[in-house]
Parts: sequence; structure tokens; C-alpha cells
Amino acid sequence: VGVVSVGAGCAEQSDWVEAAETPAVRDARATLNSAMDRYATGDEAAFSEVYDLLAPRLYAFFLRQTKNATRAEDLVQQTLLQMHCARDIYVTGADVVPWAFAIGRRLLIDGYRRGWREVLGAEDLGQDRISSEPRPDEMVEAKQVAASMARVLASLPDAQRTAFELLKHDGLSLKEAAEVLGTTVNAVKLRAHRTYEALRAALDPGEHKS
Amino acid sequence: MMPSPALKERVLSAARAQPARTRAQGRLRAIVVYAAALATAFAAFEAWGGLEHSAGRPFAYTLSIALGAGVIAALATRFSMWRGNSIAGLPARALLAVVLAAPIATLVWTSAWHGSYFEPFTRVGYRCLAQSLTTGGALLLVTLSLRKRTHPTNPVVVGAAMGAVAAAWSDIFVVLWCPLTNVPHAMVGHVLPILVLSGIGALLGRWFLAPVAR
Repeated sequence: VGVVSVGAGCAEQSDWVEAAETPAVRDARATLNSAMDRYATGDEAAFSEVYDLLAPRLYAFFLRQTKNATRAEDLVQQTLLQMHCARDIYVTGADVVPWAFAIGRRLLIDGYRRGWREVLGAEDLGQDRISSEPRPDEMVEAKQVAASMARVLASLPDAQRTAFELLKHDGLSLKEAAEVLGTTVNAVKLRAHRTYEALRAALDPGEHKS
Repeated sequence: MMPSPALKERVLSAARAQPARTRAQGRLRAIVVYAAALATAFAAFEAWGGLEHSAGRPFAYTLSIALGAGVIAALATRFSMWRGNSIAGLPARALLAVVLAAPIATLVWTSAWHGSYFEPFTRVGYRCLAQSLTTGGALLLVTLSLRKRTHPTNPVVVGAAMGAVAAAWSDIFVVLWCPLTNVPHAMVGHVLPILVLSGIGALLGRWFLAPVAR
């Protein structure tokens, strides 16, 4: 599921709408929910399936948040163990993805409260670094855009930034992001829209003013 | 971006080393714990004097007031505790609405009966407050222990809502026991416990409900 922004070039007409869910995404979700349901009823082998379907997404989320591969793996483990311990509360048919991301986000908040702050080090990303070699001019431009985006995102309130990232980077639907953040779909739409506007203003100030 | 292959084995072996209740076991535990809480609340109600204490009010009125209190408690439970098919959590606004609506509904419902019968005596409401805090407090602790570390979103507001719900359920016993419905008494004896337990729930929710790194 992707989220796209449509509009006629002015803030008033822009809004966040969800792209239609593809059958592959729907199937993956159903498979994950079914695996978690079996695990909740006592099928121990189903946890391996839950891991396979969930761990890569959680890892990407944590890696982006912490910029540290070791910490990201630790958080994936913590999140899945929390789900394991709370499997008795899993309700048949409930979406596992927002639950997992909500737990993960809470563990992140908990970690930050405990005082750990990570800075991106070259060795941290290891195998996840981009391997393809773009042209130098493309690289400079991409770096500038990425730096501007990172600056704008860092300056935004956590709730606003997280809503945007869950939709844009983690591929969650509006409903799922709302569950992760413990708020309404409209609030998520508003937060994501504000982030989008802030990014647009920063990356193309001329167009934004017009 | 993929985690290292060794992570899967680490996660699976950590899960194997840490037994977790299945859904059926969790349900059974909840039934047993809530049944024990109900039995304790009933024993406390009888120890305080039971229905005898409200004998000065027509029994049909007592039953009707208790029924209304039950409806308020059931609605508060439905809108704040029932996960439906979402286990991540309810929006904070919905939970706050319950925290605010429960005391207002209780005040309106209880005081609506004032004047419809002769109140046998006058009391500030401290004993109702104590009874509600005891029964509701126990129910709140039970709920917090059952839901420990399972509310990743809005744990403070969830705790407050649990407090309001626990106080609303305990109010059924209190109105069966207490024959008074005037506004000052209702404020102290029936509404204040909801506010107090909401506050306690919010404080405890912050510590007990959110998952923490192990």
C-alpha cells in the first residue's frame, strides 16, 4: 500500500489519499494475520512464519530510526518477544502489522527516554549501504535533497514525522498508521499532509510560494 | 534491508525459553481473576451492610438506579476496553471521552432520582467514596495486571479509562448500598471515586501498561 499526494499545486487542494491495496499486499497481510492467529492458539511453529513476514519491515523501520544495525536488530528481537508474550490477547482477524509497529515505536520511545542516542556511522549500516554507484552529479543532487529532507523531518514534531514515515517508508495504510500512533485516520492525514507541505516548501520554495 | 540471518534463531530460541500463555489460557485466567474479583466485591458489599443499608428507599428504585449504573459501566467498558479487531490500541480521543463521560453520566443519572423519594438520612458521602475506592481499586489492579505490558499506544490514557471503568462497575455495588441521590452526596460518594481512580489509573498505566525493553 502506498500513499500518494495529489493536488493542483496549492496547499489547499492537496490531500493524502491511499493507493489501492494490491492483491500481493492483501495476501501478505492475510498470511501474517493467519500465522499470528495460529500462534495465539498454541501452534508454536507459526512464530517462525510471523518472523519471516514481519522482521524485515521492522528492521527497516528501526534502522531508519536508530541508524544503528545492532540496535535495530535488538529492537526487532524485543518487539517480537513482546508479541510472543502477549500472544494471548491477539484477536482473530486483527491486523498484526500496526500492533507490531506500535510495540516497536513504544520500545523506541522507551529507549530514547533511557538516554540512548545514536549517530549514523559508516560501519553501522554495513551490508545495507547502497551498493550501486550513481553518477557524481546525481550523487551530489541526491545528497543535497536527502540532507534537506532529513533537516526538515528532524525539525518536525515526532508525531508528525512518524506519521509521514510510517506511510511513506514503511508502507502502512492510513488506518494502520492511526492504530500505531493511537489516533484517528484524519489526524494521521493531517500530520502527513503538514509534513509533505513542509518538505515541499523546503525543497522547492519558489513553487510553494506561488 | 534485511536483518542478519542469525537474528531469527536468536528470536525463536528466546521465545522458546520464555513460555507464553495461549489465547485459551489467557481467557481462562481472565475469567478466573474477574470471578474472584466479583466474589470479593460481593463479600465486601455484604460486610458493609448489603441491601439492608438502602432499605429506606423503595427497592424498585434501588434496582433501577443500579441498572442504570450497570448500563453506564457496560458502555464505558465497550468504548474503552473492547479491542474489536484492533489490538494496537484505541485513539486517545475515544478513551478521553470515556474518562470524561463516565463521571458526568453517573452524576446526571444518580441525581436525577433526587426528590422522587424521601431520603432516609443525610451523609456527605465519605463511606460511599471509601467503598467505591476499595472495590474499584481492586478491580483496577486486577485489570492492570491482566493487561500488563500490552498497551503500546496511549498507556496513560488507557490507564485513566481503566480507572473510570473500574469505578463505574464498583458504583453498582455502591448504589445498591447507598440510599442517597442528592447532588452534593453524589459528587463526593459516586463521582469523586471515578475521578480519583482515573487519576490513579493514569499514573499506574504509565508504568504497567506500556511494553518495555527486557
